[in-house]
Amino acid sequence: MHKLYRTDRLYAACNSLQLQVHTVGWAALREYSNWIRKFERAAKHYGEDPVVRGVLSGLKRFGFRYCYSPLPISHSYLSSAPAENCISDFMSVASAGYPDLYEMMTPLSEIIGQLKNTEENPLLRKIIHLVSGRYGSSVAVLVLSSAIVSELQSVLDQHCQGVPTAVISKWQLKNLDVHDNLLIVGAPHWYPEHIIDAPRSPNIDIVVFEWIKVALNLREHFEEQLGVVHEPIRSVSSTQQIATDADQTSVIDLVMPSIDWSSISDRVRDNIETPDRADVKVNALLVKLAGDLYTSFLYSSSARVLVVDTTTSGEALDLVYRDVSEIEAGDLVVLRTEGGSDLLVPIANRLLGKSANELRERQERWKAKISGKVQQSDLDTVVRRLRQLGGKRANANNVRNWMSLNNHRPQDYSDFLAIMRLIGEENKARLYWDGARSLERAHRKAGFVIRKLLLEQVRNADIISLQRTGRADFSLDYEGSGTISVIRIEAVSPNVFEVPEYRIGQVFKEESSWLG
Amino acid sequence: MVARIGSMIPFDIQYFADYWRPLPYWCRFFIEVGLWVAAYSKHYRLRLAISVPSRDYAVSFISLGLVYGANSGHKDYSRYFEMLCKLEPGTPLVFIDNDRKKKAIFVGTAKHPVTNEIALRIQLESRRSGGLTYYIRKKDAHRIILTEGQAITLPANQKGYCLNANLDLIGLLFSTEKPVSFLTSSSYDCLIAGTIGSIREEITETVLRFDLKGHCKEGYIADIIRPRRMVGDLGYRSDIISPLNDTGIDSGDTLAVLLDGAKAFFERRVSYERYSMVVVLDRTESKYFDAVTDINEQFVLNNRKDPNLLPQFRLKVPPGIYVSISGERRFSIAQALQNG
Repeated sequence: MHKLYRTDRLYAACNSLQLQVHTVGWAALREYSNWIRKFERAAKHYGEDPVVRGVLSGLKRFGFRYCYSPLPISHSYLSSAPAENCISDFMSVASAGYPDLYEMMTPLSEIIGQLKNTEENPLLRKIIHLVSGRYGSSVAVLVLSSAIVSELQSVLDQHCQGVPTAVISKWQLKNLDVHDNLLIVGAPHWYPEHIIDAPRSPNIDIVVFEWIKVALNLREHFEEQLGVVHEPIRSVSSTQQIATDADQTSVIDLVMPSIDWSSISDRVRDNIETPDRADVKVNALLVKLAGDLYTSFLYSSSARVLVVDTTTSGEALDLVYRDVSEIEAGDLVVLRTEGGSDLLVPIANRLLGKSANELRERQERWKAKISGKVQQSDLDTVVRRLRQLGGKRANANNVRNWMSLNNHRPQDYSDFLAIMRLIGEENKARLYWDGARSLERAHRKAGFVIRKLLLEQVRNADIISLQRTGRADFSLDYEGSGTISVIRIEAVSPNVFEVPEYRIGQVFKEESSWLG
Repeated sequence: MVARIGSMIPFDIQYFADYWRPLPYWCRFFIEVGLWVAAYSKHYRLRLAISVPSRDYAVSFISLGLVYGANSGHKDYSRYFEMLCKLEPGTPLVFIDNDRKKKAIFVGTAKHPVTNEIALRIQLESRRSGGLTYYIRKKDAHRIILTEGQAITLPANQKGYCLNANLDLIGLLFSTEKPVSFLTSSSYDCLIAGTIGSIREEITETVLRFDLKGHCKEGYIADIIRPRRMVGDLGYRSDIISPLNDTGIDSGDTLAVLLDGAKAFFERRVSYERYSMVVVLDRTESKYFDAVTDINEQFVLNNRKDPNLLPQFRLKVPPGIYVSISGERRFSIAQALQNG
């Protein structure tokens, strides 16, 4: 479809926007929400107490999932196990330390039981009802978390046959796609303002639990602006409730949990596998990726990351390097999420040709000899001896690295010469050194080859599916080739954090990092 | 029915998407904004901010209006002719011969052998092959283009190079008689800072049909705005730069700088402060409200000392678009001295 025509449809949607709110009841979830409010009020007496903060955050997260996830109750995403663990952890310490909260906690298991025993998720039932009533037009169902996009799509495909339905996340409402109908699951203020203010559909239905406040409170644009804000947008942005199909009693302004970046940064620092390597600290931006994954990007003037360029509309995806300071939520970043080292050796050997075996044997020989020296005496003795023999950077950590077959050679020739002197191979030092350098070069080239092959796959990825799910993994048909993933950035830390250098770019999962 | 553009543009426009469709009102609005800026930026250093649901096509059509507005008036080539007469003999030139451009050097001035009026003498071929020389009268001065290059040697004969220009469309919009005059001089009537790939797509891949009193010509926005990075040095009227990477262009004749998006705004607002500025902000951008806050602060400051320009902006703003206008009055040196 022509770009200008598509853009015109978008302006037409702005011109004829219709908004309707549909409320859903669920007694058990409402009771849970009320309980959370009371517990939160009582918890305020404990200030920033980490135990109280932890249990409150865990329970809010559990309740919030139910508020935005129209999935069958039996679905693992709605499992009550995290909440039950939270409760039991808290109860083990609460009777002594937090007696009033302990008391409050008693009826919670029963409320959760009622939730789990509900036969059908009322939110899902309402959505199926609304979607099925849109015969003859397409429906996009907007959900808060990209983690449930595929799951909900399968459910709706099963129940809403005959109505083309696409489950989408908020990131897909930035492009030029205009949907006949847009069904927003949850309160509009959980989403960016543009979903209402720059609508991608002329018909927007908001489906929300009846006790959740709907008002969006859109911000003003320009001082003394020209151009009229469309009436439906004005009404939803006013503090007054807009017309709904149910009575409004005791609405709750449910605020979406936000990310606790400090706890993520602690996590990066605490999970240090090799303490020696934690010495070098660098400034980094912490980044939340789709699927509760996190990573960190080096924050410096020259640091760049590879992202998908969504501004071009060619058939193949364009990949461009972007300054780390420029990255923002919504960007699709290319990251290595799984090794690839296993494939390095065969490709490097191929690049080295006939000399590969000899070079590797030579490498193994000197590494075995230095390891033997450590076994004969101890690491500290070997370090001392290497220093005496001219090793400038000899320390316990470096010697451990030099013994490893994953490391090709010391950075400095003087260290290598000290090793050769220690193992009695000084006359072959230059030969061994050149061999180690050849191996290193071959491994680096092999890394480039693998990366190139993987990036070729990325370029041919299906952008629509990528935008819906927020993640696509790419690997080669060889075992051990590793995986490159294109993952959507969902949030970027507002501040820079200090993290160990070797953790930069490592991807890790973290589910309990939300502020209540 | 073909929708007619407001009073400021004397032609209708259609675009081709499977079939010819009337250009939507929001596109015409952007063209009108460009025309308005072209008219008012002579007297004001303007600050226009436009909030849109999507940035697509906004700066492309604004630039079309701006370049059209900057060049639609009648041009008198008398002064240009006088300037050419004073050139040093041997100065390299480009001569437009129908739809081809040819190398030439300035020889001097002489009386035209037929009309007896003063004419330029330009040489197109080397002496060895006869040294073909043309007389160029004042009315044809627009066919001579001054080049910035070094001294040249003329070939024995030359067919010339095809002009990279849609002369039919230029002829329709600007001057039916002398379309090449549009190429005689170059200027940065507008500078666009934005995503080059998507702007290039909009200005080179959307076919438009311009209809002036029943005469129709087809072409692209690029045919009119002629960005230097796409047409080279011959008759450019604008340029597109990346918000981050390109070095800025500093030009005295620029009517306005178009900043496409919040990123372009934050990166370029200081370096282009002295120009009129049109900022297009997409409400889906993450830095949208940061830019709005900045613009509002400037609006309050400007309106404290200068007249509110809002009442003078009489265009009907389409649904989904919000506009903010402020500006500082430009003074001539004499006026500035008078005002102390």
